Amino acid sequence: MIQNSFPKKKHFIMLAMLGGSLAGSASSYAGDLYFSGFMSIGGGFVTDSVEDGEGFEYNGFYEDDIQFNRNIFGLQLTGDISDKLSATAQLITRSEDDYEITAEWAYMSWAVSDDSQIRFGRLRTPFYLYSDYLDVGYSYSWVRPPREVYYLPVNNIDGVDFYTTGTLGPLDTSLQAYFGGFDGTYDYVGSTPETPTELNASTRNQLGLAVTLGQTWWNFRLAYHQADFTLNTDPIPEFQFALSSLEALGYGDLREDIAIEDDSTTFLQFGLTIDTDHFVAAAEHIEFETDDAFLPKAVRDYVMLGVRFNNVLIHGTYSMTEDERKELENLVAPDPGNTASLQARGILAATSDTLWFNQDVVTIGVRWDVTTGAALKFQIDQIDRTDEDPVTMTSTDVDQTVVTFAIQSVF
Amino acid sequence: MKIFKVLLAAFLISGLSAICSAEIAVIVNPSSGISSLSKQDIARIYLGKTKSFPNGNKVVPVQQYEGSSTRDAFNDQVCNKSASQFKAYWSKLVFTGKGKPPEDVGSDSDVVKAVAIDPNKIGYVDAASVDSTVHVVYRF
Repeated sequence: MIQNSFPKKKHFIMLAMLGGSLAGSASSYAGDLYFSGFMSIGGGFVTDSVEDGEGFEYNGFYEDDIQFNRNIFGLQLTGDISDKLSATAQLITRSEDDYEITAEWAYMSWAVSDDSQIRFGRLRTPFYLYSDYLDVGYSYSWVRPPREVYYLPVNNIDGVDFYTTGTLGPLDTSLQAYFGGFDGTYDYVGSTPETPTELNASTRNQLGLAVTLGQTWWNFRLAYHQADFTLNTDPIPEFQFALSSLEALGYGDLREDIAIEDDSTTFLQFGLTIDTDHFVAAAEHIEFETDDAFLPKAVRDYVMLGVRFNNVLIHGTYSMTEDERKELENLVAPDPGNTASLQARGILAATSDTLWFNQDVVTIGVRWDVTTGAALKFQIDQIDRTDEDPVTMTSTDVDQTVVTFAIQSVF
Repeated sequence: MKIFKVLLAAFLISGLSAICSAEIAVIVNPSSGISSLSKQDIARIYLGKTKSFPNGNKVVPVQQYEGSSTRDAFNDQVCNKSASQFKAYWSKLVFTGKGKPPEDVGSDSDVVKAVAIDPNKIGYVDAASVDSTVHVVYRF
């Protein structure tokens, strides 16, 4: 029988076997190397295909045929350099990125004390309750956490953080503070989900604080982040058209109020998780706001409840968005004698609407722990989306059903 | 109705196995200076919430191999987690660099041996395996 020890601790000789170059550069001491891994194989489909003009893309799914396109494999290596110093890399390969290998975590960690550490390098930004282990599906109930809340495109940070744990009476506490920035890309899905537009995203002077308070069966978390955020939306034709039209009308200087260019951005999160023998629950609230840009202010929540029967967990989640539209048309005073001002207001109103819609999602899912270390998951999301048109004062309701499944494991 | 019978049988069997299961002892090295620990102290050590004994000395928990009935009973009764929950809990810490799970050292005798030679170690074994080389701090 092969024993599944987690994580496997191997003597340094394993490193030598892994690769000559690695061993060559570091074989002068006898540290320990730990490795552990995780995997998720899955896919899904929507009931209303986008191709047939019926539905809309949701969470990367848009075909009514099953797509086995959600595969992820991760390997984490940690090497102890000394008592206080260690190096960790988490290498991930995903089907969504054509199995290109990326390092989502790669850092040097210095243990300041038993309870505190400072890390330098690439880290996961601690936006959400489940941010840190978003890729490790095995650690939570859903196939993937609710898309309404877990939607931010930039999930990593290159910088430094400080993490400490402690107690407060009967409560366990933790505090994480970080500073850094990130350059990455974001796939904008317009009307053609098969060919998303790749946009460059970056943050500068990003800093944040996350604190938790809890006991073994519950945990409360509060986080606040801020950054100077840039998302180059120029490759989106509609956006380019809006800006050039405004320029032609004599309102070219409004670009700085519309484009996302080094704009002050804040992110607030609070949430609660509960995990007992028979019940699990989680709830999260977020607010994301970018000043001087067309992006709506995101205000989003979900509540999840689950019941566990031995190895089977049945859960239900209600997620909702209450995003607030930016009233960009108010940047130009309406002047009936000046047609350009009215036209500009029309363009600004349409730009404010671009990414503004609200939706409610009901999710029902099952997690079956097939064996220790592997879980089979199945989930149905029912999305009700409302697209309001503030000009005509009408709203359009559309819905979509997404079925997803996965087998997820850690080893 | 059939499902009900199966469930009833499952409850009875799980109840019986709890009654029949052997006593488990949590052990430390006699020179650790620890005379006894509460269930909560032990749970906090095994869940990585503390890295020291209540007296401030460093603590290094070791556990039995996966699949051991002693390990499952310990995780269930002390940490309030099933084998899968325990694994999911630790995967959250492992993959975020926030902790390393207790080392798997093997069976009852392996745990006794590991604890007997290291004043910082803590382990759990079937109470019948306890000998004079280790000190019992909690029994259940």
